[in-house]
Amino acid sequence: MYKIDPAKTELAREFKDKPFGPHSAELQKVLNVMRWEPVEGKYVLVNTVPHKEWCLAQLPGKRGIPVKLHEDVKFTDLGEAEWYIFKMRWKKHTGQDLALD
Amino acid sequence: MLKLLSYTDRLWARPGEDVTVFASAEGFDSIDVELVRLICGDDSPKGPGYREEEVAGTRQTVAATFQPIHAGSCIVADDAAPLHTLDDATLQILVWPTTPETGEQAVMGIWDSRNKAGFLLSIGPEGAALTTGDGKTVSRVATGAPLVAREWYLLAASHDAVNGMLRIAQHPLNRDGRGEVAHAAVADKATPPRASAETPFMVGAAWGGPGNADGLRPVQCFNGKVEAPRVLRHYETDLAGLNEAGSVAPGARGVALAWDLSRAMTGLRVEDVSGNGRHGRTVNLPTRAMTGHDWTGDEHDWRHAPDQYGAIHLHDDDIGDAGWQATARVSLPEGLRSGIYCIKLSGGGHEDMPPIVVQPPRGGKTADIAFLSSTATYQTYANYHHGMDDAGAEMRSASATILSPSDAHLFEHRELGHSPYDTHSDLSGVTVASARRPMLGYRPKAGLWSFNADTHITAWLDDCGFAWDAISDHALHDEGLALLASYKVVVTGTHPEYWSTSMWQAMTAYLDGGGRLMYLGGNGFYWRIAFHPEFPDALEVRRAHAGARYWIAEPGDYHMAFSGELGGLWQRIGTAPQKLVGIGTVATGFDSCGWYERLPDSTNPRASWIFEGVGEDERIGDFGQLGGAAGLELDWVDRTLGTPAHCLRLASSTGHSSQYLQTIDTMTFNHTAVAAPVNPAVRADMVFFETPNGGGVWSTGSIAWAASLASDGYNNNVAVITGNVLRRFADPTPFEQGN
Repeated sequence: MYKIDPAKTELAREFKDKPFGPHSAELQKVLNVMRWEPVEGKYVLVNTVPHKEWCLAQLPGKRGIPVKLHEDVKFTDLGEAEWYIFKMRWKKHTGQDLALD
Repeated sequence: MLKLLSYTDRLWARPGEDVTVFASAEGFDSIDVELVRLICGDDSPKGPGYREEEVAGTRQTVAATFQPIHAGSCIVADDAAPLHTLDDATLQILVWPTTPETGEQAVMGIWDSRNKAGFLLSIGPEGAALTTGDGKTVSRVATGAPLVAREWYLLAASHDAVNGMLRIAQHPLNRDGRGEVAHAAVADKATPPRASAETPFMVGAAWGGPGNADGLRPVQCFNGKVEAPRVLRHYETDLAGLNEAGSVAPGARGVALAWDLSRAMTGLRVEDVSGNGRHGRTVNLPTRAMTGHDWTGDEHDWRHAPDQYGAIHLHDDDIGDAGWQATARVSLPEGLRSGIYCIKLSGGGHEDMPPIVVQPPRGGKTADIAFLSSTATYQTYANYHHGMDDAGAEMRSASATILSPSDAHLFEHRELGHSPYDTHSDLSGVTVASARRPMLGYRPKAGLWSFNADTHITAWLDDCGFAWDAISDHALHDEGLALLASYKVVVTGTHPEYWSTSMWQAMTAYLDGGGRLMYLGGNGFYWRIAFHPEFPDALEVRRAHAGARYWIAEPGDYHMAFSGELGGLWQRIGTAPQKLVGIGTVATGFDSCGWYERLPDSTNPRASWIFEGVGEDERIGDFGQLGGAAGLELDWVDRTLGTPAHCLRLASSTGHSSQYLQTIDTMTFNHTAVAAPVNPAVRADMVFFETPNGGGVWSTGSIAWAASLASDGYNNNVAVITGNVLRRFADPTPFEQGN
């Protein structure tokens, strides 16, 4: 199973610069590993102002209860939202904060 | 989260007819209602712009109130009165539970859950249990052995009200060699069952009082299959003797009720074969015609062996008719121009806009061009949860899942029901989609897919001055060829995916008669559906054989209950979309879009008129709201599946990312080269061919096509080509039959 190498920050840089694909083959591996997370706790974005604002949220993993909104984490740019989620997942998979520059 | 929800009694209507609106308002008591013509339902800032026009004189203010939905399917006896008076009774049923671990679920009985009165056979953490109550005290006996999911059991329960004895038993069936044993228990000093006269006899749920689900509220709903429920008029001490479904003949003396669920499977009725006439009805559209405990695997068509299909699969999140009180009646003015309309509801700062296809007056088309609104596909996608319930959804979208407020509401409010893209709470596939409930997603401003994406086409028709009529899948199903026959050209939406047999036959006959069809989409003509013969607001899909299925029908369950027809892909029924429109599904991808490049056939005099005004080396559609005109879902030619031999392949798409994968129904096995840009099969083919009697078909093979129409004020080669085809197709000059 592919493991995300915390030393390969160039992949994170690639994602930051272009959060929507197509991506390089290795970055795609990183993203696929990250995106295989189970439904429970999965980060999603709730569109709080149509086409203008998105709130970070997590799926509860159980049907019929509210999606957990992180009201203090909102974005006005979807690319920034993708980058935020990417950084959190990077830390979860590598155990290290992602520091670029 | 959403405070204003609604649905209508119909998805299409004609001028002069009424549409009834059912609405629920939470936190406010009146709503404004008006009819609007929807020009473009896409409110994305990247799109051509949302536009609606009010229809003068249709505005009204009406009272509204909160109306709940009572989901959960069950079977209810028409008249339970004689069963109330049974002092001694034995209950017997076969069950195939799917979520025995999730808590107490009512299997059968007369049980008033609010007052704890009556008798109830249930399953739960303690296994099968029998409970009796008189409204004051409750008695209970349970086997103490939880049932195993997805295995058949005979459950039997008996009460002797005079002597206060309760018995319960569960017998595993078909468990040879697995070591599972039967369990039974007995208790005395039981409370006599005393339910109120209004408490119905139910299978698969207990009575939660009056409600909106066919007049009642099902509670403690059972998940799984049930078969052969019976009520005997005596106390049975030897429950182990009831170890086969047929141990007590349905019509034997002492049988008070025996429902044979293998009878009348297409309908809502359940027949009592005890001779006592205690028939019943299904509530909230459970899945019928399911394999029973004795299905042998030899026969896969329930019409040939109905006795092996005596099971109904009940779900705690099934929803048929939400059953709300009418909130408003909207009269469509005489002379109203045909088109896509919405009934705009607003109140308390909230809005909801159920769409209505306004067709021309009956037998009176008002234009030569018909736009076929994919109402069956919209209905099938409504209340879609796949992005929220499936861990692979983010892989598919290649970006974080984005939930609209409607999506978030759906996640929480499962009583709104699911779509056939989803699984039920027990992870069995959703086969039924009802239009008699709020259909979130089948709305303007709900993202660029299906209904909204199709308004790019209708906006283009309006903006370019074409006269057109709107017609709908539902009307096509009902009226067949007569609906199409007088039109010179029929234009589809971006994703006309779901087709009933009646719809398919009508379109085939139209083309055979010289009709012209513009297929402006991808993944069209793909799944076969059936409409319910008694409740036509519901349609059915069986994810059989192959295809992008989202869930997979169980073995033996490939035939639809509503019609008996084989469900699944039209291709697997022997009539691939290639036969109808030259192309069929081959690839999907959702991260970006490509463009088309012309092929030698595009200069063939039979088709060169299509490209008038477009350079031979010009890329087609390398622009647009989605970045390109070739994308999302792509179709290709396949002679072996029926692409006409004289079909011209005019252009093919390229520029697809590695997120574009060949669909599994077109492959025999998987490998690492199924994705673009290394798989030559990942492409959309644009085709043209002539049909008998001067007709023709032009297909784009891409869902994204229409999202490029509006670029640069319709001054682009996608709009030029589409316009060239539409004008020629509307010209009655016959096409010569191709070679």
